[in-house]
Amino acid sequence: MSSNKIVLTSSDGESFEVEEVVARKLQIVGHMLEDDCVINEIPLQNVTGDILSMVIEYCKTHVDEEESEEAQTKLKTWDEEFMKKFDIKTLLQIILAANYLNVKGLLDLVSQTIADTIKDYTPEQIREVFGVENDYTEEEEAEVRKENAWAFDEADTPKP
Amino acid sequence: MDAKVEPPQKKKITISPSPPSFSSLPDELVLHCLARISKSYYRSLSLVSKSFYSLLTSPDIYAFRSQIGTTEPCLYICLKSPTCRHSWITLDETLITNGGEIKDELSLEMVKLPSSHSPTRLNSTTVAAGSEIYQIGGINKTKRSRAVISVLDCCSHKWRRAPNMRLPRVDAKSWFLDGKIYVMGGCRKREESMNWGEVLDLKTQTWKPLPCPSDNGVDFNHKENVAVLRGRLYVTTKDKNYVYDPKEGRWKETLELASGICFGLSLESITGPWCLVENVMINDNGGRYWWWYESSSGMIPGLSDLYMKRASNYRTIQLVNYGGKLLIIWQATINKRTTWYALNRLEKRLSSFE
Repeated sequence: MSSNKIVLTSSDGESFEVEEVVARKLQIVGHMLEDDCVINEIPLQNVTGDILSMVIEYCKTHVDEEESEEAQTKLKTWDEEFMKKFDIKTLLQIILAANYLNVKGLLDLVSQTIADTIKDYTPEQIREVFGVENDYTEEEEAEVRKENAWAFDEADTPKP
Repeated sequence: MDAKVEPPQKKKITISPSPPSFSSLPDELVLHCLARISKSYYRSLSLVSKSFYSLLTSPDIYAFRSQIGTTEPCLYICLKSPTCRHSWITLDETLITNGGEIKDELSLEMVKLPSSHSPTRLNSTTVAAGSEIYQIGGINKTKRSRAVISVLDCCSHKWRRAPNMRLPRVDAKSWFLDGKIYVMGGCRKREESMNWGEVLDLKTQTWKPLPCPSDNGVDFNHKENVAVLRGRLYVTTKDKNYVYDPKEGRWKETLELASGICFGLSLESITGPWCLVENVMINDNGGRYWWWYESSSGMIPGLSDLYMKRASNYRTIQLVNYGGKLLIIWQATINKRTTWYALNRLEKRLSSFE
């Protein structure tokens, strides 16, 4: 494998020098390299340095994805620990970055983590944490609640 | 519920003073997340906002689910009333618990279907294929038998038409196997020898004839004599049993069902509702539950209390394999009022039979 170094620059001007194999895990970079192989510095407009460094950490760990069960289990454990480091709002930034940089493994990992986190939130908590506006009118909300009436009777008791 | 949902912990990394909100995420990314949450949470999630509601009810979310492999089983029940009007209901899966009983009519959710084209043919046969339900043949309001196929898309809850069969069929049998729908019987006697069955290839949407297993014809007097088992189609008659392997494309006589290798009993001799759960056949014989697997059979332990509990005025309508679990739907007539009950048992118990 080539040990070429590539410099990735974030929107706020932070630069990261990484091995080409790591950079290629970002498919957006991979495509650029295919178009013109002499590039060694790549500006990434839509991601800040803080988030980019997380994405690079993920890519470095996942650079050789071995098929053996042991290696897979080890990676899975690493993924879980890695995700525990972030609060929900940071996760939202990482999912945006993973989508923009086109890192499929990370995109799947983050969306699963977000899904696991928000599934037990009440609608109010989801609105608060995610900054979603409640655009139901009182009547409409009452209507949706009525549709789900029995579901809310149960909501008071914790799910098994 | 609150205990689980503490505000973000302090030790966790928080970056950027104005983090993006969910509403700033493109719909595709929101779907990426929502498609990974069990549908049982959707009722609560749909209260968040109108955009959440429309995402959660859009067909796109089902496309995502099948893409990432998070599809979940969903039970659709068609209620046929004497007035010829069919209504479709679904069951909220949060209510299906192990050994749980569902009594409340509220837990049955009416499927909202456009009234413009809602087929109400009697004596049709219904089969589920993936996320679609095929309603095949039957008699229309003017009592004419039909070759029509109506398809209910369970993602969008819209009806569409599939190509007609080659001839009308009433009270036919239908099974889904390996991307194809097999329809057998139900045509007029004089047409039967040439047109005993036909097969719809879902990919090409074309019908092809399915020959009759026997030169003497096969008459569907009994309700329970066709089954799909281990990727093959079985038909049993009074004297002989037949098996159809789609790869070979022809019928063969088999001793499997008769000699007890498969069910212990031939399908022919089984009365009452039955279903297959992972190649184990389960039969409700007047409220007693039996199982058959390979050459063994027996009463299902633990379901006898159910038999005791149920009075004589209960009638089992159907046994359903609900994502590997057994779901029993029965009807109880109390004070001349019909109530629906459903109960789910077994789950892991089945593995101990094998």
